[in-house]
Amino acid sequence: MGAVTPMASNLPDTWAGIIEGRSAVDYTTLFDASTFPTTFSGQVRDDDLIESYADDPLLGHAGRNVKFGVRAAEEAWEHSGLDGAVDEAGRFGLYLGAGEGPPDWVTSGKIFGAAWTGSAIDPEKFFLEAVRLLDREYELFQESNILAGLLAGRFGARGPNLSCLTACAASSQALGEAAMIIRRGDADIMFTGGAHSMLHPFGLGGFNLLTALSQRNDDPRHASRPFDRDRDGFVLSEGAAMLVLESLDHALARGAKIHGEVLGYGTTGDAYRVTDMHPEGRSATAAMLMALEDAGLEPSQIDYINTHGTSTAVNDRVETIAIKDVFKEHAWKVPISSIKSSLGHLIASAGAMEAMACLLAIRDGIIPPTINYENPDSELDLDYVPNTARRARLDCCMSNSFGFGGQNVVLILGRPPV
Amino acid sequence: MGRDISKNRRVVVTGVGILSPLGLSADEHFERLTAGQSGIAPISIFASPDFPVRFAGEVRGFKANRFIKNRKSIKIMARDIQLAVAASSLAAAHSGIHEGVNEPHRFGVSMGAGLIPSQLDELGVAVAAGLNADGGFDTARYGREGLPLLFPLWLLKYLPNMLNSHAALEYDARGPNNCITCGNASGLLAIGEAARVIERGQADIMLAGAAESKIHPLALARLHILGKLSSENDLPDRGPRPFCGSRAGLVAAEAGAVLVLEEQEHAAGRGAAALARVAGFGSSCGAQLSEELEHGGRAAADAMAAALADAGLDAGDVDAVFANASGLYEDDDEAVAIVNVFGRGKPVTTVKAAVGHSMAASGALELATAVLALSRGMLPATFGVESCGDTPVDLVSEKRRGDFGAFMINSFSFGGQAASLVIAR
Repeated sequence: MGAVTPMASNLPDTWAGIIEGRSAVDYTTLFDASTFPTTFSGQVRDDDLIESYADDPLLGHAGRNVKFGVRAAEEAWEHSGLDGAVDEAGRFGLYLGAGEGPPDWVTSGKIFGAAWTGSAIDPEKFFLEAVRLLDREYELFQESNILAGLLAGRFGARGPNLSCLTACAASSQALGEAAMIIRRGDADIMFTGGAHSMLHPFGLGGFNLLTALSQRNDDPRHASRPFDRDRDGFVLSEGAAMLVLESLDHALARGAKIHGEVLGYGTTGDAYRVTDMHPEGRSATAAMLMALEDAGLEPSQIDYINTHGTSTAVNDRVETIAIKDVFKEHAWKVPISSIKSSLGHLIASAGAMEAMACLLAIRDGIIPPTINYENPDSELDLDYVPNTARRARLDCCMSNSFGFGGQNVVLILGRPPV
Repeated sequence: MGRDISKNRRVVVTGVGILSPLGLSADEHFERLTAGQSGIAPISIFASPDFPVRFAGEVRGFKANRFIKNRKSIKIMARDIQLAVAASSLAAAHSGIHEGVNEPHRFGVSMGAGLIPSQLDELGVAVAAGLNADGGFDTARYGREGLPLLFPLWLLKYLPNMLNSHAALEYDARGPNNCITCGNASGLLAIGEAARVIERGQADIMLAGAAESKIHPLALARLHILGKLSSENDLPDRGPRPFCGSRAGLVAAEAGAVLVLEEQEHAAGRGAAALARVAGFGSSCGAQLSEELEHGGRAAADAMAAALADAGLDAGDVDAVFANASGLYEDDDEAVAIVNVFGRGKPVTTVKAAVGHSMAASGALELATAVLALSRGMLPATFGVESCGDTPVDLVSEKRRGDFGAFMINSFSFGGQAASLVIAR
């Protein structure tokens, strides 16, 4: 496992920060966002990481998302102990939930400026200026499939190779589908996870236009407050999260250290509105039930739910309703929390990060807290593990990811098989 | 891991929806293709006669409101999304599920999407308001004066998963929902993935396909600086001529192509005709950034071999290959791969020769066309290759009638992904 998050550029320090209840949210410095409705974000502040790729002939041209992805993948690769131990390249694949690259907004501004007639954009002028000014490699890296190809080359993976982009559910979906590829017998090893940065003027501005983001500009560290009465939107973050999945037989045969098991996967579509979740979360409920059925588990066997928990008014209310619908009386007994309270929302990378949080919670016997939980919301009455991490023995954990547009993905993770 | 996956569930195609430069329906597309016509013509968005890109494969006469029930939503759909939803509507009608299905949670959507650029005038107004006196982009100024000029749902109009979201909404499809973004291989991978979802029992029926439009100044500029676009502006009638020694690059295009995939018993139970069976699927990666294929085409050969093995078929069982072949120099690598897998003499064709390269949609369009070819017993010719002379594969230069058993379809991305899929009777 590996991660680059606003908390830290590796997984152990990210996890330590989450457990300590720290917030990784602060004012945006990547560009002047002082006039935007939201002036803060979960920005990766490790400039050395970005700088370390500056002279790389290939990655020097890549966007931040790709650099995060490569760094997290290198950590996961080292962690897996697979270097030099891949016996059959054709049975080693990738399935990422990677985001598109951040646009080169400095150059875009110049191109738009040159093509602006005073009332419209001249398409021919735009094309010619774009051809003159755009960086060939940077533009290629805009495509979200490039990371999966790049990592395949770096680690020698010649098996199935895919990348999906179902908004905030993307890397959960990739993890679930990667597990299915192994389960079907089409690969022994699958690299999975996500990398994304929408922290640019068009991304931040776009989410602001949707009024999806918190605007608590006087107090960024307390802006991401899932399930709190005074929540006012999510916090836009950037980063990457990567895992190596392996068939149990393959992992046992090479004596690998196993960190957990993918037990179940559910995927549904809301088919309700592209702007809102269904008010009762009917397809979120269906995704949880599908994952439980896939895992062969009863709701009462789930020890912890890592929620989608974005800190928007609607998500946290609907997710609470959907959990009650699935878990019935057990809903009030099962601890649930959102690590987005600490990290903000990593968008395409969020799901893989949250699946890793489940695996680490099982390993360490500790439930990550929902920080910034100050004022209970009368309708939201579950055990949100407020503010302080909690010791518990965990065997099976559920991780929810609900994409903007209605893609719902639920994963169930478990203890390493004995 | 949980339960074993059943491989007994067979997946069939029960509907085809196509919007291509050759027509606004599967019938029109196939009839014009087999009549030897081309959909490539002078481009509508650039007018200057000396412009470096002057022709493309455009879907002409497309009016979204003729196809999409949810008309209020059309204004928040980029053209890629409109093409996907419209093609879904054609496929659903063809399959007889225009009114949806009885069990919406068993009905899923799997789409392939590209990188969708904002409509220029829309974003341009806002960016222009964010420019300094010296023409530089001032983000603080953009935040203050540009942002308020955009409409609230602007971002949603361009997200790739919105192909899926709108298609799901249109048909109340609440089952598994995935969006593949693997560049030019997206469409074929999305359909392969949809077949897997049905096979493993998480859905009985799926809308599966892709759409993309590269007819946009930014998208075309990106292709141009990557050196991909054909420069034969004076010879648009000749098309991209894949595999020909005289080929000069790809011709940008747009399309939407969607299939209805269905579990065989489910289709039989409601009396839907099976047009073809999804027999096998495989993917690989050669990790060659910016190229379609690694030299020697190893990943392409691996993907084809994986698809054949998955189908339980031998190379000799396949009657023809619908190649990725886009008119780039990497066609040679695909040819090597085809010969490695099939030996010499296997008939090869590609729809791209007649319509250009619809990128994320291209694999779905080749597959949708192959389904029609199989079910109608008519293999289309490869447009414009009559005078090519020797080619490294046996191009189908005249349409052929036949009682075909199986076709292979290939699709590759810039970035190294290679996907292959086999359909059978």
